[in-house]
Amino acid sequence: MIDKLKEQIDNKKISVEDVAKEYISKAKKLNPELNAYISITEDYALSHLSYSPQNKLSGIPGIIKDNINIKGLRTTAGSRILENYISPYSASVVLNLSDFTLVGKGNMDAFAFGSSTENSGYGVTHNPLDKTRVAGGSSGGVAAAIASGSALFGIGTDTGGSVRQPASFCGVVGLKPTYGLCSRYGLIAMGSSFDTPGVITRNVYDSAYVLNEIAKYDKKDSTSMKVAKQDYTKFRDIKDLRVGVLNFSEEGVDSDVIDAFSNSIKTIKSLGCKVKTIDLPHLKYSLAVYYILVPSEISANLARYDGIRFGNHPEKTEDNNFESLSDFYVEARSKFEDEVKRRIIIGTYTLSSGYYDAYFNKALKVRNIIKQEIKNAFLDVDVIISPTTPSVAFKIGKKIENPLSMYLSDIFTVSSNIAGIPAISIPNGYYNKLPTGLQIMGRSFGESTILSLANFIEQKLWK
Amino acid sequence: MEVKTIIGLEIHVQLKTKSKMFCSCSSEYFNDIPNSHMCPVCLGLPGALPVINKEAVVQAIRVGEALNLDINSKSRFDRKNYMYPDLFKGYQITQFEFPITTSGYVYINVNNGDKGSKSKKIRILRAHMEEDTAKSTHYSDHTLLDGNKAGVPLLEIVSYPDMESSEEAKEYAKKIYNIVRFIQASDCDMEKGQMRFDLNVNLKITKKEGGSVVKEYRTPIVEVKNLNSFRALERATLYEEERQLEEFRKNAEIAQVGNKVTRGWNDNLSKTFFQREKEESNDYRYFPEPDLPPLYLNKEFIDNAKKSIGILPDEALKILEDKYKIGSNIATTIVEDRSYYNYFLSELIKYKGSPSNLANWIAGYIVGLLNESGKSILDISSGMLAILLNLEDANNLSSLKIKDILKEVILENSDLDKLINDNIIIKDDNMLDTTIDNILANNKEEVLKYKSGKDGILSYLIGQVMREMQGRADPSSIKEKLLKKINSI
Repeated sequence: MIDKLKEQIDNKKISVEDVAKEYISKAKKLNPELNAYISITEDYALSHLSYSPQNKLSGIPGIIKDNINIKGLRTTAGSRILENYISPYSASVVLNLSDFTLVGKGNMDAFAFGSSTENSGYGVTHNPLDKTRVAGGSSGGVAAAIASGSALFGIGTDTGGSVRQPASFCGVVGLKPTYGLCSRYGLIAMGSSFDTPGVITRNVYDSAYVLNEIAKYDKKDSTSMKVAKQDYTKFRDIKDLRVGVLNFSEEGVDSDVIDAFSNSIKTIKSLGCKVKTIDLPHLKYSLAVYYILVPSEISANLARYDGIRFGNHPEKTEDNNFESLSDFYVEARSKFEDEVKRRIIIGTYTLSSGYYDAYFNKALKVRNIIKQEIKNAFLDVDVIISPTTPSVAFKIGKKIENPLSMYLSDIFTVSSNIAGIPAISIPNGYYNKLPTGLQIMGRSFGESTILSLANFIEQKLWK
Repeated sequence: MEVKTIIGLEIHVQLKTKSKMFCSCSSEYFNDIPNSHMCPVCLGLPGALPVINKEAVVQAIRVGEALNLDINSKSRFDRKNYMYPDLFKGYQITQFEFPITTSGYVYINVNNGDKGSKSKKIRILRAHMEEDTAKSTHYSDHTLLDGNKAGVPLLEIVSYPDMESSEEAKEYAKKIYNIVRFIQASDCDMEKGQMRFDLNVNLKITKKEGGSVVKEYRTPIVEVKNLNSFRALERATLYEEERQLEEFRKNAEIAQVGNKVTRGWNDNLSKTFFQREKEESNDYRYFPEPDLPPLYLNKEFIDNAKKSIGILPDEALKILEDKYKIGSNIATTIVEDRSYYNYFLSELIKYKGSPSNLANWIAGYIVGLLNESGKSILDISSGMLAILLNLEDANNLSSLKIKDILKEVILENSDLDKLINDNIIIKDDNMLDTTIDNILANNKEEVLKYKSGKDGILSYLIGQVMREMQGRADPSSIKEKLLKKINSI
């Protein structure tokens, strides 16, 4: 899709300005119902239009999740704490998207904490396929915008599934690259050792197309890696590819999801891949590891929002004249959303004296075991497949009061963040008009392989 | 009852680097407009990430080598979590578990009663890299923050509790100051906050009866933070020694075990004051900094950094004393600063006289001139002092004139050649004879006094002649001629 539009722009069949106006007007029309955008950046987009044929995304409409900084624009991270925060700099990943047209900033769970966009300080995002359901999260706004066609590509962030899960819920493609392939500089940090920017598009080719632009070493991000430049849109032959099917417990997984997954395995076999079941016995600890390590990092990453430079600086009143600094902090930080407070508290606890070894340190050890287990598995297979999520998009309000059941929606996705490996989610079925997703995980920097397999499955399933 | 003081020091040194610890902002900020050395990284803006400054790592290795510390080829940064307005990220990036250097020592000179002084080894636990905080200026109802200092590279040098008196603490601090300055890893300018001391002090009190120990007590360790002069360090130690002993006497044997206490130092009152009872150190919730991979240093990198320190002040002192026969006080002044030492060596190449005369001039006159004017020895043109002293040795310039010339050239940038020309000694016997005759004619009474045995009068007369000659005469010729003429009167 992107390359077709690019061709039309290059051949002067349509102007960059007309493209921008078309997509922005669509976004404006849909947003009252979907709430996919925290800001629709019409003025910014129209005043920043530029076109150069060599830039692959020149004039292509995109949506950027609102925890990714763009110079001169409000960047809220979905939280009221940053309601008035205008960023003075742009994230490297945004700078790499030369000349693209910014439709707007995507709605999200505050600070990317959540799997439904219900934790947003700016209202929930509705699933375009069924507006009574969530679009997933935390990049729910981006997925809903791509699914409803108000942008052709979106950049989200994925810490435990935040790109893949909403992509799955909205029936689009979500790619989480290897940790270190794309720069984190300018992404508002959640779990720094898990966060990666990710891509959401309508099809696999477009994800590969966008990845070509953002896969770039960045000296401003010390965890960024130097990797040989390659063209991810050149899909490779997948015949004889060794596909590992994750042996998972079916408990808590919808039968529709299991049906779709079984069909995908058949499809994969029909493509000439070699399929075998693999056991990763330690993967069941992934969620526990994730919910110790990520909140720990969060508790430090969010300490800067102290009301002095960010958020509403609390004013002295007769009742509260801030006799101590901690009074001030309490007042300023009580504005955090509930899920944000919950994770700061968990993380502060897991790092505390006397609990560090029992929680943080142990989780770190288990993380290494899981990493090693996955690495070993990739000696036998080239990719590992599983469903993306245990259910289709759930009803708004259904899980928000039960954090644990919400956390479980990331059960298949967190492992790749724990191991830092790439993973992609593609639609693999529809049940009552609600999409299911297939997740393909690959070796570190094995994006090309998972994109190739995803592409051929997509061709087979939907064409 | 026997009372022993136990002292350990944490010394923070701002490393001399072009840019800050984790970003490219300039780290030379003194007297600049507040908040003018800032970027998303050192301001802790959401999404910004740190990048380790290689130059700071090199400086840390250099200090490590100079303090006999082991340089670790693998080290790591951690986050130290605490909230305070001067800490923009809400955590400080420091090295907790795996510091870049560990286990070193220095020797200091300590008092040894009648026997003068002796050498004592002070062990150093570690020196690790971290970032400085912003500067807070407190007013009655608000506080202003200046972020120029935020993120400046710091090295924290942690000693073992090996010091036993305020003198030893001061000697140790001075030693570190001298070494770090000499290898040019920091200017250590305490007025600019480039070197600060955290003092940890408590007392070990032993009660004895009939020569055998009955009971041993330890007062709670007190940490006095942010002392910014040797004097403050010394006085805070003395104050705490007294205060803790008094407190012990008051409380006798109850409440002996206490938590570590943090106290502040009021320089005007010369007193420490209670700040807070320090909770256990791991309440800082240290954990590995996820934004920075572990720091691996290869041998070549470490070796190059080590080599670049060159000579150490103790070695330089030995050379000055043994090879050049320079007195201990003068030599000590010269090794206060690497640039003094370098200056001495470079002038020595051109100077034909004795090294100790050259050293006397540098330590006894030039250093003072520099301190007075705030100029650097590097501003002095090379070879000038050697030229002047060679002239003096050949009786062509008086030392008085040399002082004037140095002052004028260094402070006023006057022309050296012209000054030499204007002041060179006039070797004109007739002129000198006439002048002496005049002085003797005008000072008949003094001459008589001299003849009656008041020897001191002679230098007065020499001075009179010198003044009349506007300093441009050779004092030994004056003296010789004066004596001859007086004796013939």
